Amino acid sequence: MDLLITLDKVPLNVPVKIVSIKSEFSNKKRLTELGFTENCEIIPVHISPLGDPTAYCIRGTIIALRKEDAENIIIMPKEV
Amino acid sequence: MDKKIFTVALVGNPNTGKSTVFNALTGLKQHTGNWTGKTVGNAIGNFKYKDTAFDIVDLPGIYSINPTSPDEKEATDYLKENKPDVVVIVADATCLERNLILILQITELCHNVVLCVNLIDEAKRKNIYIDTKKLSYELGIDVISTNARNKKGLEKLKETIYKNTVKIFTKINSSENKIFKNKKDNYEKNLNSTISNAEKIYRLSVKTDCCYTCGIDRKIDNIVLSRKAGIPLMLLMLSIILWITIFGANYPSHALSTFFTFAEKKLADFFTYINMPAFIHGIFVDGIFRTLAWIVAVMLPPMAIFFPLFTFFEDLGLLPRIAFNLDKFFKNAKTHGKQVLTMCMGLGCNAAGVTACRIIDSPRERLIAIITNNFIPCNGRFPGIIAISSIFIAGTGVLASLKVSIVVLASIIFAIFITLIVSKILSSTILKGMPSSFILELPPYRKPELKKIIVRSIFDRTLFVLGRAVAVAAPIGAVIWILQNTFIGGNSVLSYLSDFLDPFAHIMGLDGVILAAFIIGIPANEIVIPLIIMFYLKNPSLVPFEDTKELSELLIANNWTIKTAVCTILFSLNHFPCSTTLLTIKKETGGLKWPAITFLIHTSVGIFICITANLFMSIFI
Repeated sequence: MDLLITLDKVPLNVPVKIVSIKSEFSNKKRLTELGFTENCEIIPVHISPLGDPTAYCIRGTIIALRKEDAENIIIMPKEV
Repeated sequence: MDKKIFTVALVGNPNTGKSTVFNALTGLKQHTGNWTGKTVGNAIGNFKYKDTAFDIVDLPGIYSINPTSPDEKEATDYLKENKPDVVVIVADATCLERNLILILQITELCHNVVLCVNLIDEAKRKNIYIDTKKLSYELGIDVISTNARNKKGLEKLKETIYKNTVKIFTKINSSENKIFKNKKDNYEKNLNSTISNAEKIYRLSVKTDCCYTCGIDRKIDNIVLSRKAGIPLMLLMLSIILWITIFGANYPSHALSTFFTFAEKKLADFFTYINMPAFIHGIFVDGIFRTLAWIVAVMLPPMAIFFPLFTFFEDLGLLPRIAFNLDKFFKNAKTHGKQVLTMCMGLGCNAAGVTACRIIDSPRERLIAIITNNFIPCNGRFPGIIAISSIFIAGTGVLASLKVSIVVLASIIFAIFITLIVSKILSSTILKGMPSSFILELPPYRKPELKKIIVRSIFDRTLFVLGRAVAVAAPIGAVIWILQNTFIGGNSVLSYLSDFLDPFAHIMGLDGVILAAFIIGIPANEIVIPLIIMFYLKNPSLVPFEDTKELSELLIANNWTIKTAVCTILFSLNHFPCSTTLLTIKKETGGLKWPAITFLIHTSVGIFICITANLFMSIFI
């Protein structure tokens, strides 16, 4: 079973771990600077009233990403 | 040696309270907002410690030393080129882990770094315990914990800055090599090792059992960002702000205009007493003084109410959440959600809104935000919209002020709608492209400090905007008087202008006088209505209207109908930007091309909307 899914598919309040970021360099750089790194835990916490973007809790901060950007972040379930 | 003035730079992630630390150190009331990129441009202040003088620079918030947006570039360029004597990193104690990434980068880039862990009281409340000794040991720099709001730890910070300047003299030569050693290294590789280092240091020096999901912020966000309440709450907030502004401004405006009428009479008496020639009397008293008095009386009260209220919500941390709630609309228009923040600023002043566009990373989306900012009505346009709607739409009665608020709210929603449409058109024509990535931080909610809000919003915004308006109004007051009092063949120059414009203005549902007033009012939107009154009365100078009843009679006598009222409001919402905004666009985009395009877009949109509305109303009303 393929356990690799993208961040936009994660339901609210389910903690997951980042596997890799596929974005092009400048976006990847910005995401990395904000603490989006391999093995880092991330939890979707809010969805905008209009359905997009989604806010994620990562390293104690809240960062909102659009679906297109979240699609580039590959995650895996957090081991239980 | 002790005559030297040392420079201190404040850097840090956005929303860490850099500006609050800056204010606490210098006593200067520099504005602090609770959204990313508030410090647009560098604020400079100074302080003294033990007979040593320090110049202190507050840099825009940054996430890394490798800049992505224009305001980030400003901060990193400053660090690299100006080489401040001491660099103070301000970090947020409540999210130190992320902050550590930047801290580590800066310790590699600069020498003489001091870390100021701010908001330590808030961290304690959230059960976050920071071992500053351990942190200092791991980072190899001095670490001071502060709570800048109540000045806790500030003396210690000053002392540490002072101590670090002493160090300069002992190691000035050895440190040169250390700076910028990373310049050519592989940034990405470095970044990853920096982050794992940050994780390690964080684990060693911070103990916490707190997380966002169990805190109070989460509970508030569950309402503010919710599907059901999110957007209605924002509209409610906007209505309350506008209603308080409109209702509250009436009395002080009235008092001010009574005072100025009195002052003008005294000034006129004085000019008569010293036998001043009539034309000098005219230019100074009826031209300059009266125009200035008008602008102060009309502009000051609403701004003195609007800006503190706006600042309150800004400091609370609500603005990025508005961007979060509305981003989908902007995504559909292929622009950036942060545009909504610049639009909020535009409600106060479009020139300020244009400057605020620096927070948008992508040049294409930034230009769109700059061009469309003027669609959002600024404070200068509200009084006119309010006066006209209270005469022709709201009527009298207990609900009148509520109805006026609704008209103003509807105007803003319409303005947002137009902004989105024009943004979308720009995105698919002259500024083609896909939306860039949208990364928005939602900062923790912060309790605004009332006293500071009032001082700051009055000094930094109200008086700033008023000052600029007064500066352009004084000469235009003289020019208007001269135009109105220069006669060719029995008619004033102004009446030739309005006669010339009249046929075209009628197609737009206006008349020549209204259109001429908008054109002459280009230095300040505030004087459009007084200009209209002046023309109608064929008065040689601006006439302050005492009450809406008089104004109502005057307008109706000059063939105003509900159609004229609606078209005038529409043209007020959609017309060429004022001269200050145009100049700001020129400054921000570096040339005449974009101000010219902005001017053309707004003018043609205004003409199109007015003609359409006029046709529509002529058929159905």
